[in-house]
Amino acid sequence: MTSITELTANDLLLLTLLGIISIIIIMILVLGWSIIQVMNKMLMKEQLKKGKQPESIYQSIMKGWTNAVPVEQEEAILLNHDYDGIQELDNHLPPWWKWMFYASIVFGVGYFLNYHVLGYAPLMEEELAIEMEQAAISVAAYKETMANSIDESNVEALTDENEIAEGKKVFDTHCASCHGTKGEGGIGPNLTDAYWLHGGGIQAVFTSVKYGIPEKGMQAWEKDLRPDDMQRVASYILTLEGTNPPGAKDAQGEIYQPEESE
Amino acid sequence: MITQEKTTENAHTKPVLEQFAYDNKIVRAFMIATTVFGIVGMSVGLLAAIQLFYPLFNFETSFLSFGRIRPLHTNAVIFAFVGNAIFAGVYHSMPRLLKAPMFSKTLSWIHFWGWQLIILAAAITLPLGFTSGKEYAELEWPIDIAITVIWVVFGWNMIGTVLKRRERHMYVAIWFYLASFVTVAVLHVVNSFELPIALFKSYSAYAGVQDALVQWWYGHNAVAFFLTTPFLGLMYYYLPKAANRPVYSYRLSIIHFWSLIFIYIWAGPHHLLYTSLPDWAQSLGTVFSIMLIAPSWGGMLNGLLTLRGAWDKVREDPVLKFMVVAVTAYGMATFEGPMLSLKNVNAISHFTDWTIAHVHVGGLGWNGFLTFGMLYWLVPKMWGTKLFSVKLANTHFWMGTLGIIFYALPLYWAGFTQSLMWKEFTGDGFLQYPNFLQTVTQIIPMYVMRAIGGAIYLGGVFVMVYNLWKTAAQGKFIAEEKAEAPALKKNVRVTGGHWHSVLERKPVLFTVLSFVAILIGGLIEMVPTFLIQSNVPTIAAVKPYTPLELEGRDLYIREGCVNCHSQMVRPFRSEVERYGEYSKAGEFVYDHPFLWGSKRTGPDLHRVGGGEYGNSWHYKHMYDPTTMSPGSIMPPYPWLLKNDYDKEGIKKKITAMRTLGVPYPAGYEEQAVKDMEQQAQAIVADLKKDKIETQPDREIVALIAYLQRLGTDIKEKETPSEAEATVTE
Repeated sequence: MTSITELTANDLLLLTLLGIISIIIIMILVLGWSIIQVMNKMLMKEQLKKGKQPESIYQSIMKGWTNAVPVEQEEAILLNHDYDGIQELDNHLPPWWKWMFYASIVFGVGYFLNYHVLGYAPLMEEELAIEMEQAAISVAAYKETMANSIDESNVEALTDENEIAEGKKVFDTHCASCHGTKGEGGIGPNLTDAYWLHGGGIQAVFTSVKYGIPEKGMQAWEKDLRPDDMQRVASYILTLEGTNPPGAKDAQGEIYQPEESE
Repeated sequence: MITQEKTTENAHTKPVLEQFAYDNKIVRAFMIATTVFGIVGMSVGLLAAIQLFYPLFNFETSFLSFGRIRPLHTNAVIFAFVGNAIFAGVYHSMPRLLKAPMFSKTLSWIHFWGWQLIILAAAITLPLGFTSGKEYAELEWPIDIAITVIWVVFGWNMIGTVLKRRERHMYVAIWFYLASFVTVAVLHVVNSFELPIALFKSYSAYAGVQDALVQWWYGHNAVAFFLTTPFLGLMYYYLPKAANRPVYSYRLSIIHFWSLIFIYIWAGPHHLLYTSLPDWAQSLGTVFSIMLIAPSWGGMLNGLLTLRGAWDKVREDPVLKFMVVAVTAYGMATFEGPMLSLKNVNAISHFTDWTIAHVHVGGLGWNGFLTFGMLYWLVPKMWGTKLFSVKLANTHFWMGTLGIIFYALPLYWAGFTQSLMWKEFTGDGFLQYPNFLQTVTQIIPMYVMRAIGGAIYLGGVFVMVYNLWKTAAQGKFIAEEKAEAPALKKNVRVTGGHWHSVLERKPVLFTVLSFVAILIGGLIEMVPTFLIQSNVPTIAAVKPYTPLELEGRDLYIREGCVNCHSQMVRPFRSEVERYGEYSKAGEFVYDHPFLWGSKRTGPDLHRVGGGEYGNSWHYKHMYDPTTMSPGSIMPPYPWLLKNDYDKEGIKKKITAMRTLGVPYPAGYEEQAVKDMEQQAQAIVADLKKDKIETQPDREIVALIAYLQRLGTDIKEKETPSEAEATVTE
């Protein structure tokens, strides 16, 4: 809790606001209370006049909830106004409605206090910090259970058909818009020839995918793609070599000669 | 507390009956306008709905592109359809409730034609792309002034009638009419503070966070005081009339009237939860929205309980059927609204189609059905006949009800689905649906169903028009309805009575008190947001837009991009991961107007800048979005590639921005054109590298400059250099 001297203008403002709201709420409560009093008196008078009638439990519960004067007896509460033929009854406020109103006010005050005075509920920035922290924990826990991640030092080209097909899916979703649907090139370079700007071979392609070439507009995908997906798409890209799709972009970079395979 | 009312009169008093007549012609005019603009507004809505799954339904013209016709739809249904319905109802019920014809026939007709001209102006300027960019307040400044003038004419006419009344007390419907008039005037004037720079172009006087607060104080209360309170007034007249039953509870009227208008005005910030608006203001929005449930339901209860003892009539009478569904829809929407204002619910619902479903339950259910009920009741009365076909009216009722269900349910489903997809993470910490488009294509079937629902609803309206037309044809129009009543005696002292009935005979005091009631909430929220520095912390890195970017921003506004793209990254893990750093209040200080948006049909754009998407990507994407994002529902903008922007106009814009407090150096406007050309040349040169030939003064170049700038000011410092370091050679 902060001492008075530490209060900033903002805190003072909040306190003032709270003060105003409390006053308003008190006013509403007082108003509500006086209405109940009036109602009670009127009700008692009416009952005395009519004499008591036995009520079923259902009726008395409903009456407790609605406090409505039955349609047959509404003459008694018909106000003597007439606006173009429209008349008004003077039924009580339905108690369930009134209590819902009070409850919403209490809830509102509690909600505000909870966030801004008591400080139990986190404000936006804190909420984000908590969310990120929890995410980090759960991701770490998940990764514990996974095999070692694939990265550029240990990545190997996949040849399994299904894996390549998965790689194609990733390519179609993320790469095709710049490199063409068949890898023929567009905004980005042609991926179907033997020439490479940033190195050919699985490790170099994986690295280009993972970290991007930001200065040329190729984005880093490490935040959006899982390591195994990057492996799949890099492997798929390698299979494109020599496909000669129509409209291929001119070759750029150097010919890549695979080194001796291990 | 309640004392008997006493009338002290001056000696001899024989009540002298005065003869007068109610003018039905003006009511008929407003009713025709209601129907015509109802059909127009809903048809435009249907057009927009179809474009969401078939983007080329804009016939590839700029005038009908989604970003321009969405505001046309909202303006048409709110101000033209509902507006004219309000005026029809007020001009019919008010004279009868006060036993006095409207104050001036001239004012009535100025009001009528003035309002229709405003609608015409809106229908022309919005498709042309003249827009202020602020939701439900899109119309440009000359039209804003016209609205103010006509609104004053309306108020003058109403208050004049009230003052010349022959009924001492004002009935609850009149309270609602007066409060609505006063509040709409305040809202419209305050929100429309803008600096004109051309005939149909202006900049909002407020910027960023403040602009957002004012706009949603206005936007929310346009719902409150244009779509709700006047309609409660109508309900209080037409429902007891149609049911021929006394209103359930006079004191409920009193309590719910005052609490409604007092609390409603505070609730605006619930449209800005988890944005850069200060936390305290957001919480006030939430809290007052929750407190609004009971006052709103007070109206519903008084409507439904008035039908006690008349439910057998509801079964038979289409008028009552429409009204019951209207009032029920009102109750549902006013419960859902506060629930959507809770932070944890809003975190799911906001920016999705859930909001669209919510407003259409209110719009189609409450406003639409109450209007239909009123029209079905009025036409036979005014043409002195019976409804042509009850069967057709029932058909309309069922078409409307089914239409609402078919409209709303798919959109609730769509909103929920999309929100969950946005937030879904995989176990290893990646977004499950990293490509925003996946979350769009998923809900396209729901968009199709929604359009079908809307079409059914619109079909019902045509059935109504036919039915009402035949009804009018079989009757004879009663242009004037004669009436008589004794004059309200002057020099008469009425004392005592319930404290509120005292107010009811003092219309001026009553109006002033409602004015005070609606002022408090707005002031308490706005004054600190404007005056206290800590509410919008400054960020030194944030600089004004370059001239080319500013021009691009105006194009972004003109094309209505804000209708589908937010510029507000909320502080959630899912958004920080998807878009980048969450948006800060200090980033928007030069944004006149703010462009945070309220719906993400496409992704957020606040962090789109910075080159992650190259210039050529944007160029190709604007020419045909599907080439860059297969399956995209964004329409193509080929005209941006052909048209030139107005280079010289930038001088005026820079000067205007400086007037509004944007720190361009003195005399910068002289250099602006040169700077603009330079920046444009650089973009053209970059595009050339990707074999795209264009000219530096093409609109697309300015738009690209703006998009590349978006959200980058605070990025500069934070861009980690490690990514570059690890790039392979």
